[in-house]
Amino acid sequence: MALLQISEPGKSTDPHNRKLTIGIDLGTTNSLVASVISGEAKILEDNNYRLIPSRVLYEQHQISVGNDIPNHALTISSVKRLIGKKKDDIDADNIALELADSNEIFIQTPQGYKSPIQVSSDILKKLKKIASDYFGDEIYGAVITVPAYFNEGQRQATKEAAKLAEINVLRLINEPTAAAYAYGLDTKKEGVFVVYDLGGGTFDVSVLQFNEGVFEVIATNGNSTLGGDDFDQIIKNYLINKYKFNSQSLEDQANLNLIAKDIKEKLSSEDTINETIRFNNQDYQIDISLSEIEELFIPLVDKTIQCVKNALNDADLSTYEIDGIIMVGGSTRMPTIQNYIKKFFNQDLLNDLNPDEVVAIGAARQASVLSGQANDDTLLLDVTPLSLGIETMGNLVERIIPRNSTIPIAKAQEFTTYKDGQTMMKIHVVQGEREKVSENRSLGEFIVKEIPPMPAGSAKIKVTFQVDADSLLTVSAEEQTTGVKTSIEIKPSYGIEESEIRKMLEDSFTNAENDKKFRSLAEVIVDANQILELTEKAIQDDKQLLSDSEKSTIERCMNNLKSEITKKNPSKIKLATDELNNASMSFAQKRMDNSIYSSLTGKNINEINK
Amino acid sequence: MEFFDIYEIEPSFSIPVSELKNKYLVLQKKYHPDRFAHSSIEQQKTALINSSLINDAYQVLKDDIKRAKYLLECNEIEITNHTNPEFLIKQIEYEEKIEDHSHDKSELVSIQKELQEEIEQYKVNLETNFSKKDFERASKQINEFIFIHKLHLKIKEKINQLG
Repeated sequence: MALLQISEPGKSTDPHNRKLTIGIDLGTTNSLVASVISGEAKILEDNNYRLIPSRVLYEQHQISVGNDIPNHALTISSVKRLIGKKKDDIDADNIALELADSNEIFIQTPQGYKSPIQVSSDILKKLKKIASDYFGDEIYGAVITVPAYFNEGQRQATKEAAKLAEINVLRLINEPTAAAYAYGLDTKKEGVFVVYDLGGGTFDVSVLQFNEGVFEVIATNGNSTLGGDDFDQIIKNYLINKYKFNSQSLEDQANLNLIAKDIKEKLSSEDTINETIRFNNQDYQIDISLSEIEELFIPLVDKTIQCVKNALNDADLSTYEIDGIIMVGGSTRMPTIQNYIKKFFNQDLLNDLNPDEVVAIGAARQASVLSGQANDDTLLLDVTPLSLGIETMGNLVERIIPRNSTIPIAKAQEFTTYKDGQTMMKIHVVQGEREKVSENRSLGEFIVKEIPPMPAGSAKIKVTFQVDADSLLTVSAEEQTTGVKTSIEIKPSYGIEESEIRKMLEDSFTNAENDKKFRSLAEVIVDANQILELTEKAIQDDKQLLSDSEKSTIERCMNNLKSEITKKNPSKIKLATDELNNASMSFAQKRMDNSIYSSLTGKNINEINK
Repeated sequence: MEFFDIYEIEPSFSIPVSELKNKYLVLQKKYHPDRFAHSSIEQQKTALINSSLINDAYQVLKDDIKRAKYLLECNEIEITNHTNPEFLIKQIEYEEKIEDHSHDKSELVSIQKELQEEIEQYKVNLETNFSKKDFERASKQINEFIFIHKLHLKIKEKINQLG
């Protein structure tokens, strides 16, 4: 297949037909909306506030978002941590919210139960309104940023929330990529850069190359359950343990979160805090030093460093080959992090752009380019964060698209049937880096039906994975002889396991050796069972072709193989399989001759020669 | 040979790498879905297909092993799993050597150098055989080349772990 003909994209030059576009940074703690106005990207303010807290207050007849909410009202916050997830995936104790008693996550509010998608869409509506009020006009479309390490379910759910808010999504782009874009356009620098992006609830690291207006992501890594909030949590626990802060209600917990955040922010500019805090009608005298807290932070920072190492490894680069480190997210202001990263790369960090705003600025610029109005030929080339594959026999994953593949990407692979006359095949789509299916995240499954009955191994089912420029996956399968086609899009309701996501990549590095052992065992067992089944069937169908001694040899080999399978030693199973193979060779030859003979009988010579 | 056609590069094992990269960026700038985000649904679909194909072809062409396998595939040559006994012995010797020196960084680095030289030699040989259209021989070499490559990665990882 060659490239398809495509006409030049039209550029609308009519000034009366302007298309207003915005960039939205939908954050865990704060959100921002920005737009390119006369060639310059600007944050759009909400009554002089640049940051819009990602908090929603539901009252009987009113919904308030962000800065409109009165202080200390009990609000829904950090909903980004819940989006695209199921109840089993989260640690409900750590969320100061009343949840519905179901596997899907629903939050109890005076307006009834709300899903994280609905709450996110209320935040998005507010951001859209800020923009349309500013322009006094309709917004044509938006670029919305998501953590690079968001998986399929989380991306789909974010897009769903935008749809609910009636926003035309021009593109979902990754937060570190948006930041790099803003930075690169701003400074016109070229080279290889690392973006270290610690948001409120997520951590991403991306390695990018800037070259003649192309921003190419080489590798990305991260942890979608690690963020600035976790540092607050450490301080909160410290207050509870050391100073005996006593929190009883959900409201207390929410207030304690705010106190912890406040202390974290103060420690970014001061070495010690010595003050009295009023909490729950009681005074608490605290005396905290930065070095004391830093020690508690180290395990979290180490986790981010591990992600950085993984990304560099995938990019095949060393720290000294990096031309600059761009720090993104308010949490990167913490001196602990600044010092640690500086030391790791052995160079100064690029702090010249506002770490809270740079993502929204990049998104706004990209939105303006996508609308076709900016006279700009810059290009973003991003990658898939996690490998995508399907389940094959023996609980194994066949990887179809490896992590860090440049998107969009389409890959097809042929699979075949395992049993004679098999007419259906289950396609189970998974995401992750491990060899065993059960240790990756399941994205969904579907069934290819109406496969014409054929001997095992003869049917050809072509499975195609298409990842589009939003990093969203569509899987389709086609039976090659009949052309029956089935496909699914990965929907937001597909569950994901929180603890698994966090562990998945870490584990894939430490468990690579175990995985290989498991794989070789599983593979030999699949082979062994297949030959056992084939031989059994052959004996059933054609025993007249066997002499007694041949038959007893084959049966002895079969029994031996069956007993080796139960003992699970791969090399011994392999040996026993080979033995059975050899013993049944002449039988197979006879059967083949016989079947050719039987297919020839009854036809005249002309037919055979056709 | 469509991957080579897309990049307008003569099908062969040795290819101009920097030219490939430049062409890649030129093609993506022209065909990437971002260029058609405001165009019709049809055009967006076409852009998705084109851009995916450009990416796929680039991944194959820029990688020595994938490119060699692709060339064999295009010439309808199956890669044999046969390994000649001499290479098998070499393989075992390498594995043992790495095992014996698994904590000795300088020794590992010198093995790595040796492997690097082998890789270069294999590239030269592959190029010779591909240009002579001796696909049979190329297909035999490719397995050995893959093995040496894997070993090289493994030793690099070990060296990194030693810090």
